[in-house]
Amino acid sequence: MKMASRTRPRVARERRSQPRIPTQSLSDDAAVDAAAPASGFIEQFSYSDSAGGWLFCGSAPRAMAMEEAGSPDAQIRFEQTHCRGAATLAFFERENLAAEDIGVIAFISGSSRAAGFLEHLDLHFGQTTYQMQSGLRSQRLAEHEMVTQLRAILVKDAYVNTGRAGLLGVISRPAYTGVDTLAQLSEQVLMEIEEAFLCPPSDVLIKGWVLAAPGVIRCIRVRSGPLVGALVLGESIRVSRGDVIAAHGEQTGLSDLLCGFVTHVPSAISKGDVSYLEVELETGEIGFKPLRVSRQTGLPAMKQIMQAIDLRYDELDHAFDRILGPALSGLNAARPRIRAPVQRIQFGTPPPAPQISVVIPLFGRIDFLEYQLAFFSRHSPENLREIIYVLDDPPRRRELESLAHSAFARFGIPFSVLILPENLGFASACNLGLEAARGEFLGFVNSDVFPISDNWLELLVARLQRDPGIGVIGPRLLFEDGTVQHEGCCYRRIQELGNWFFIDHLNKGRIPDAGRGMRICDAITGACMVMRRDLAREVGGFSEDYIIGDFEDSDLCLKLKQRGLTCVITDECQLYHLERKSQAPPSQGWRRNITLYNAWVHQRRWGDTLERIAASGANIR
Amino acid sequence: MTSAANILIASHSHPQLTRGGAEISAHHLFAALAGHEGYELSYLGCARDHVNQKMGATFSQPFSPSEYIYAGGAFDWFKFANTDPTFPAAFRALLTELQPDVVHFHHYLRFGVEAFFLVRDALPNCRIVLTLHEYLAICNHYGQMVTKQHRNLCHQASPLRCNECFKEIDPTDFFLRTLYIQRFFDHVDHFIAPSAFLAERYIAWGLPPGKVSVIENIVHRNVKRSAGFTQERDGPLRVGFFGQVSELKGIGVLLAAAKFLAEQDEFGVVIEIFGDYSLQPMEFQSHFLAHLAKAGSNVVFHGPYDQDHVDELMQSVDVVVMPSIWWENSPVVIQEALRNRRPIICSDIGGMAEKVRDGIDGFHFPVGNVIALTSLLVRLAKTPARLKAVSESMHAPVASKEIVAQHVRLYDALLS
Repeated sequence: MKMASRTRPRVARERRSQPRIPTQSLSDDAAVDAAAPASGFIEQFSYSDSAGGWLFCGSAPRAMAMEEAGSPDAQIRFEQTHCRGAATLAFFERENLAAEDIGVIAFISGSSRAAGFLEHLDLHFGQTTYQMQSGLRSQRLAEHEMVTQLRAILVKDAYVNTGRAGLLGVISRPAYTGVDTLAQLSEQVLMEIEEAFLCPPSDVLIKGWVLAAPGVIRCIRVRSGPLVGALVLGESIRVSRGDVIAAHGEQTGLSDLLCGFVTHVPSAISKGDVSYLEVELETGEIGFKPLRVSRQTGLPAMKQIMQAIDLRYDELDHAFDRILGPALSGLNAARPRIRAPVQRIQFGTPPPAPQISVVIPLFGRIDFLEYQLAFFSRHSPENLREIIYVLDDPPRRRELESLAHSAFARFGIPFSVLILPENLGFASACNLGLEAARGEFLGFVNSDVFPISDNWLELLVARLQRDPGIGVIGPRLLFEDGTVQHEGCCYRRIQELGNWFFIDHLNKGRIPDAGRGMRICDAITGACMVMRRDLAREVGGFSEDYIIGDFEDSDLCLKLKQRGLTCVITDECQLYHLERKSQAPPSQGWRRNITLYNAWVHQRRWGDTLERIAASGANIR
Repeated sequence: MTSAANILIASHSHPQLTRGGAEISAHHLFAALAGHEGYELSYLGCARDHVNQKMGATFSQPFSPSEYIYAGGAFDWFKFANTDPTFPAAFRALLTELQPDVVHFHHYLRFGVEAFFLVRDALPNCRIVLTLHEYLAICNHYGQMVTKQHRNLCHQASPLRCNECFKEIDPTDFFLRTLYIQRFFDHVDHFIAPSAFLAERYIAWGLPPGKVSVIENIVHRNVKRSAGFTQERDGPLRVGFFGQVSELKGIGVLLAAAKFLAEQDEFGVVIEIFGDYSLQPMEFQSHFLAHLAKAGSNVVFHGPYDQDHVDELMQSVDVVVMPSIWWENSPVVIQEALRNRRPIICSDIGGMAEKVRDGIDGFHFPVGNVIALTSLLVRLAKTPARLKAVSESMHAPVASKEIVAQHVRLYDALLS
C-alpha cells in the first residue's frame, strides 16, 4: 500500500455528506448482514496476543471519520464464528483511494478463536453501520508484521484523536511470541510454573515457585486472549521449597525457603486462546513466560491441586477462602451432573408397594453386594423391601452385572441396580437412588455395612413411626471385633486445623455398653441412616458440594435439626460396619487436604449453628 | 436299622474322575446304603474342567441312573461361593425331582456353601448333613492350618492372624469370609467329623457341639485284614512312606533323617518312598530331586503307586512312616497300615496322634524333630520284638459295616 507522504499527522477535517445506510437492531445479525452493503474494505488483519484482540487496516467511507461515537460497537464475522467488542479507530489519508474513502485502522478486543475465512467487519455507530468487507486481496499477517506496519502509519500519517493514542498504546505493548523471555530481563527473576488448572469457567489455580530479590517485581499478570488477571504473590499460599534453594540459592544469592506458591486467579483464562504470564518489573520492563493450563478436570485435578500443601492454624482461613476454596468449588461445580433417567436393571419382581427402600452406593468393592444379599436372604420375605444398588464405578459395570445376575440366581431377593455413566461421588449416587425410591421410608446404607439380626430395618422404621420428632435414626455399628464403630457424633474445634469444627465419633473403638437404648445425637453417620423418604427429598438429599465423601452426613443432620427434628442412634439393633483401615496416608496427602476443603465448606455453611450446638453442652443425652 | 429313607449323597467329585479320600468314602457310603432295603440312594458328584459335560446341561448321568454329575462353573475359592448362575435353578429342580429326606454333603466345594440354603429353601423338611474332610472353612491356606511363610502349626484362626499369612487380604475380608460360610452352615442339621481332633477344631471355630459327631471315613469295603509279620526279618528295617511327596507330608523331615542315618553309618534302616511329586510346585520338585541324587543308598524312591495295590506294597515294608508337619485329619494311609498290621511311626499332633495310640498302634515322635525320628528308627531297628508286639496289638480299622451303621443311626435320629 502506498503511504501518503506527510511529515506530521493531520487534524480531522470537516464533515462531508455520505449516503446514510439504514440499520436494524443488533439482535438481528442475519438481517444486519444482509442489509449493510459493502462500504469499506479490509486489506490486512491480524490477531495480537499481547493486546488480546484483532487489528485491521483498510479503507472505509470518509463519513466514518466524522461519526460522533468514538468507540463504536464492532462485530467481526468469520465463516463460522463471530466476535463482538468495542472498536478503537484511527484514520489516515491514502493516495490511491477514491476521494470519498479514507484509510482506517481498527482494534477490537476479543478472543483469537476464529473458524473459517474472515467475511466482514461491521462497525455500528448508533443509527449507522459500516461494513468493511474481506476479499481475496485481504491478507492475514503475523502480529509483528502488522504491528510494524501500523506503527509507521500511526506515528506519521494518522489523524490525531483518542483512537490513535489508544491504538499506539495497544501496539506498543511488547509482544508475546510464545517464548520465555525472563532470562533477558535486566534483573534476575527465576520462575517455574509446575501446575496450572482451569477452574471453570475461566479461573486458574497455579502452583510454582519464583525467586527474585525483594522490590524487583512490580506485578505479575495472567493473560489469555482478552482476559487479564492479577497474580498477587502476597495473597498466595506460600510453600517451602528447599529443593529450589538447593538448586538455585547459590547462583541467585537468595535464600527464601518460602519461594513456592499456590494461587488462584479469577477470570484469567480465555477458552481457545494462548495463555501466558506477564512479569512487570519496577523498572517497567516486561518479561513473558508461557502458561500451560492442564486439561485435567474434576477429581483428578482436585487431587493434584491438594497434594503437597501443608497448612496449619490460622493459615487455613485465608488459604481456603481466597484460593483453595474457590478453585475446588469451581472444579466441583463443573463436574458432570446427571439426573434421571439413569439406566436401571431390575432383578426379580420388585415389590408392588414397598414400605422401605434401601439405597446402597457401590464403588470399588462391588463384591460387597454378594455378601449383603447373602445376609439379606435370611430376612423373611413377607415385608419385601425395595433394594436399590447404585453403581458409581463405570469400569466395573460388566463385572457388577455378572455378579448381580449370579447373586439373584442364588439368593432370590429382588433388587435393582442403577448404572451411573460417570463416577459422581457418594452424595450424587445416594441422591439418584433417592429419586428412584418408592418406599415411604428410606435407608441409606453403605456397601460395607452388614446385618447381624434380620428385622433391623423394620425396627428402625417402627421407632420413626412412633416418634414424628425424629428426623433420622441409625443403629449402633460395630467393627469386626465387636467394638463400637459408630454410635453418634459430636462437634469439636481442632485448633491446628483452622480452629474449625470437626466431627468426633463417640466411643469409637470401645467395648459397647449394653442396653443404652435410643439416644439423641448432634449428628449420625451416613453409613446407615433411615428416614422418611419425602423428608429426605424435601431437604434435597445429600449436598453435592462436598468432595468424595465427608461431612455431607453431618450437613444433612444439620438441615434436619434446622427444622427442629432430632438425630437418633439406637442400640436395639446393631450391624457391622467393616470400615477399611486404609494405608496410613502421608501427612501432606491430598486426601487429608480434601477433607480440609470439606471441613471449610461445612464450617462456612454451619459455623454459627455449630457454635450454638457446642455451647449447649452435653452431647450425650 | 429300620426306616426307609431317600438319601442324596453329594460330593465334590466322583471316584471315576478322581481318587481322593473324600469322594471314595462318599461313594462307598452311597453303594453300601443302596444295598439296604427301603433305602433309595442317589449320588451327586462334580466334574472339574467340564469332563463329561453335555453342552448346556447342568447335570448329566454318565455312570448310572442314580448318579448325577454337575459340570461345575466359576467358583470363588475364597469364600466357597458358586457363582454359576445356572446351578441354583437346576439344583432346585433336581431336588424337587428326587425329593430326598436327607442330603448328605461331603464337601461344599464346587457346589458352593449356598447349596445348603438351596436345599433348605426347596425342601424345608429335608435334613442336611455335612461331613467335614478338611479345615478349609477355617483356613485359607489350603485348609491346612499351617502358616504360609514358615510352615508353623496354626492353632487358631482369627482375622488378624489370617492377615499375617495373607498380607494382601484385609482382616475384614477374613471376617466376612467366616460370616458368609457360617451363615450357610447354619442350615446344616448335623456335622460329621472323621476325627475328634477335627471336631474340636470346628467347635472352637463356632459349630454348636451338639451338632457334631465323630464317624470314621470308609476307606475300603470288605477287605480281609492281613495276618501281620509272617517271618523273621533279616536285613535292615524297611520304612515305607506312602502318599503325596510334599513338604507338608514331611518328606523333608524324612530325607533329613535318612541323611543322619547314613552319616552315622547306620545301615540298619532303609527308607522306601512310594508317592507322586508331580503336583508340587517346581521349586519343591527340584529340591526333592536334588536331595535324592545326594542321598545315600539307604533311600529308595519308587515313584507313584496305584492305591488298589497298596496292600502288597505295605506288606513289603516293616513299618509305615507318616512324618506330616500339618495336623492331618483321618489319613487313609493310617487305615491302610492298620489293615496291613504295619506299625505306624507318626508326628505327635492332630489326627495322626489320635488314630495311632503310642506304643500300641505305632510310635509317636515330636513333629518335625529329625533327631528324635532318627533315634526312634534306630531303636526300632535294633528291637524287632517290639515291632512284632505292636503289629499284633494294633487295632483293626473300623469295619465299613460299622461305619455305615453309624450313619444310619444318625439319619434315623435326624428323621424322627
